[in-house]
Amino acid sequence: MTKSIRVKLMLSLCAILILGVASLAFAAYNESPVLAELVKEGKLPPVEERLPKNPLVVKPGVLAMPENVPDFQVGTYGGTLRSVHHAPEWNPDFYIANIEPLVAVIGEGVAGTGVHGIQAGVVDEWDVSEDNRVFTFHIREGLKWSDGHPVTTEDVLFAYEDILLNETLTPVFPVKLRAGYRSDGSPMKLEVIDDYTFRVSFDEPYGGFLLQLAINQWGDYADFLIKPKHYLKQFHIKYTSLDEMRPYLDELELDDEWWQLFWRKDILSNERGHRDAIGCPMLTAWVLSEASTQNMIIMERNPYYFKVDEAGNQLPYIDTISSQFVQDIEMMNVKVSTGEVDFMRENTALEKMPFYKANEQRGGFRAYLVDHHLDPSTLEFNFTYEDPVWREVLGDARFRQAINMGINRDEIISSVYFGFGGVPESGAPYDPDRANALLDAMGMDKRDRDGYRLAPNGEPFSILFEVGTFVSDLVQAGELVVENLADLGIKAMVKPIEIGLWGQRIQTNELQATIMWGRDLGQESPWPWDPNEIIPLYWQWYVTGGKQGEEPPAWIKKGFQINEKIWASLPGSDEYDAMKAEKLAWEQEFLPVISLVGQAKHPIVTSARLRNVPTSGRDIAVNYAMEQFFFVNE
Amino acid sequence: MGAYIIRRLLMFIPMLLVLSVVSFVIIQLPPGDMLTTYITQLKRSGVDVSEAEVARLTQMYGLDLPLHMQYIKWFGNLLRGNLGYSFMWQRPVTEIVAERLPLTIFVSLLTTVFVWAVALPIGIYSALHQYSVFDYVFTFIGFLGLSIPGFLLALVLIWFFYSRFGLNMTSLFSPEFLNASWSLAKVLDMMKQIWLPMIIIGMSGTAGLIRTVRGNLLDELRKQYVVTARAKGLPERRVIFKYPVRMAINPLISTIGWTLASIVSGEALVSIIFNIQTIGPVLLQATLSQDMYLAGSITMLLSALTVFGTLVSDILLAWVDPRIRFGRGGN
Repeated sequence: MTKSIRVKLMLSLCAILILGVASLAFAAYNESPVLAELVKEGKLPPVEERLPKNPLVVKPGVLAMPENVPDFQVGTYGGTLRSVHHAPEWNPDFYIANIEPLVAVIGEGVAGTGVHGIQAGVVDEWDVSEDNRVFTFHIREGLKWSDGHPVTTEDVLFAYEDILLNETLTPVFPVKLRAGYRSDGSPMKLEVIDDYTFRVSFDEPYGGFLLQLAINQWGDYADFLIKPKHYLKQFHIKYTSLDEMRPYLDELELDDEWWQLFWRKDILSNERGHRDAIGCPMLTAWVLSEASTQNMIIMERNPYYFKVDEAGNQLPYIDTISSQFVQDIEMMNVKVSTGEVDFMRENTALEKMPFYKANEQRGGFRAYLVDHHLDPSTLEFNFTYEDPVWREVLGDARFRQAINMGINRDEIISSVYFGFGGVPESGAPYDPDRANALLDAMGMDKRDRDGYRLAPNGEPFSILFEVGTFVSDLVQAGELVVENLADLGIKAMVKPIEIGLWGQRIQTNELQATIMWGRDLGQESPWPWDPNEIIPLYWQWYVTGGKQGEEPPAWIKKGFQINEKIWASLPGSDEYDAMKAEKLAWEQEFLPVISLVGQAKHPIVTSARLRNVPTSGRDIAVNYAMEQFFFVNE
Repeated sequence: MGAYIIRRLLMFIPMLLVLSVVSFVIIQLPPGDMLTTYITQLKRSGVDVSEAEVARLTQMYGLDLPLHMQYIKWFGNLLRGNLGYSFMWQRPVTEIVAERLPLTIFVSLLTTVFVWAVALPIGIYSALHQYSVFDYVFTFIGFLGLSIPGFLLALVLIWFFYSRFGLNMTSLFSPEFLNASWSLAKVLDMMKQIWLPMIIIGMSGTAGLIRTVRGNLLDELRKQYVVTARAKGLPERRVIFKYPVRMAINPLISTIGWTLASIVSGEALVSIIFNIQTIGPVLLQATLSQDMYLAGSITMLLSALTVFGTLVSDILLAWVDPRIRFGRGGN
């Protein structure tokens, strides 16, 4: 670790300590009237006893960047935030709102421009060894589960020894917890130091581990490292006999498969809307309420939530969040227009913006655009598709560069994205002449009777983009790309396919090319999330240490190396920044994927009565700040 | 008659067996399985499912077994009354179906009553006043009803009521009753909202039935026994209602068996739009996501109901129509 980072870390630790002491000195916390009532009835201990010694103080720049919430204010308690969902018991907006990572990145990090701002979350202190192998974490002292039971390293030890190391429960050790974020890296080791301090060590540098905990693929404490032992042990064979579990097993029509019962009761971060989550202790702002049914996901405030505002008010401000089940994604937009939705991010669509605007007044909501957290459309070519001609052409970097130059991005941005977008980092200016020259130079100068270019060996050449029907703009952008490619003399087609089929064709290496989202947040690797979308056989070679698959060309190997070095370095360090720069240069030179549009926009819909909602920045960062939202009465 | 019913009941067994194979195979036909669909759905929101998670889900749902073993496992459980586990809902199929069955039956019955109450009088009127102005009007409306898809009309009407009158018809219950348990107030609240979906779901059925009743009755009216009855001086009301109408409604009885199944499949899209929690939308969703136990079990259930309904309507027909009853007796 460099000195400057250590100093920064010490400084922030000092700041946290001072704040902690300061808050102790005042020790005047406020709580929601709903909870105050329960305290009065003797059903809950007073708020001072429910909060950790050192609660996380939320002010501008903690949950969202200050410039994104210009009118941040201390809020007032109360209200129900209404939402809608269309997959059973799965509301993606609530999912993100309830993410509580061990350490967090906000603003900068969520903005995807860097991860320099790693901050405290469930743990209040952490330290990384000089060689990026050993991570020491300190859980907030006095932190409690939503049922009031204290959170200690017992819960960490349970997660490690009884779940991760149990081969029945964890048949494959998660790659995130393996050294270097590689499937052949050795698994992490855990050491418990005291009730609140634990140490995770790897046998190789893995600075990116912090990023894994903070944001990569969104998950949080519940996915790996902290599990409510006092609750889950009643479903674990080590602590409870099958006879004692029998009533639960019977309910699920299981015989002796206690692990299936355990899996069901062990609630991961993406399962918090599922009714099995009722009764499972959480650290999140809202927890699933007993009142939830198939039609509704209702989440009530967690009385033990560990965040407060500057005035000492325990967060969240909003008492209840509830979501109604609708049977189709289009119906969600209808519900927005009739004013039945107080907040929506995931299921809004840019093409619906005029519809939102037309109904804003009557529906009592606001709709505005913020930055999309990913590049909305990216061309992905399969480098290991089983066709020698295709491989020869695609393997020539000039071909990819020609396509990158031959795409008229302005046209795509103005007609598919309504002008909201820009040229991505790895994009090139539109230059069909140079693109044509490159194609001629690489031996594709001969053409067939229709004017389409032949492959260098004289065989016909064409590209088939099979696009999953996730959202409509992927196919629309694809159709424009096909026209651009035709102008270059390259024959291409777009075919929309059902997403199940799309997923399967990727797994079986049958997809020649596709169009998909690219460059997601926390996604540090130079590949798409699923490298099988572009380099299935090379990837197999890589993860099996050369035993299976095919040996990749040198430039792909270099990509693997860059990836390893990024994950080995500590986010925000000089080494990390240098590797990120190297990655960008590598991407620009070799174009493993070709992004069509960068800096795209995405609509947010919020009730006109909702305050402290970020109005700029990245879309998903808005969800991360939900505990600071509050309603005003107008 | 008794032997006939028993024979028909015995035919149930091979029929259901074949149906179960067919429904299982059809669900498995599209590429991929429920796991790929589930993973891609999570991917949409940026959640990556780890290999560990995939491995445990595969084992949990028995997806590692060969197809015929999966079928045997499913059908074996089915016989024991265990409809299996839904992947998308992560709950027993029995629970999901049970929750939705009462409302489904209620909507179906209501729609059937509506269809009959509207179509019978109109059909009879049209037949008795063939080529009159009203006959043409009803014929025109009937053709409209047959040709406009219900879901389209539903969308247009929702928009119309909202933009003109500020009425929000996008769910069956007002917000305050959404999570309430059943009570008189909730039922009354539902009755305020249910009439529009009921009309739309029943629309094409009504139009079809008007045509059938009209056509059948016209055929009957030309028959000699009607002429004879009239010649003998029977009052016109009695001539019409005692004989030809009873003949003309035979098709009504013989189609009872399909009513439930056809309403469930016909209402799916309309229910999605009005957000009515019935079985139709669940079946659609389950089929799309290849949730095989859920889709398979519902298909089985509907098929069984259809087979059983056909039997009931055959018996009813024999009971209502002496020609059928005596015809069989003669054999």
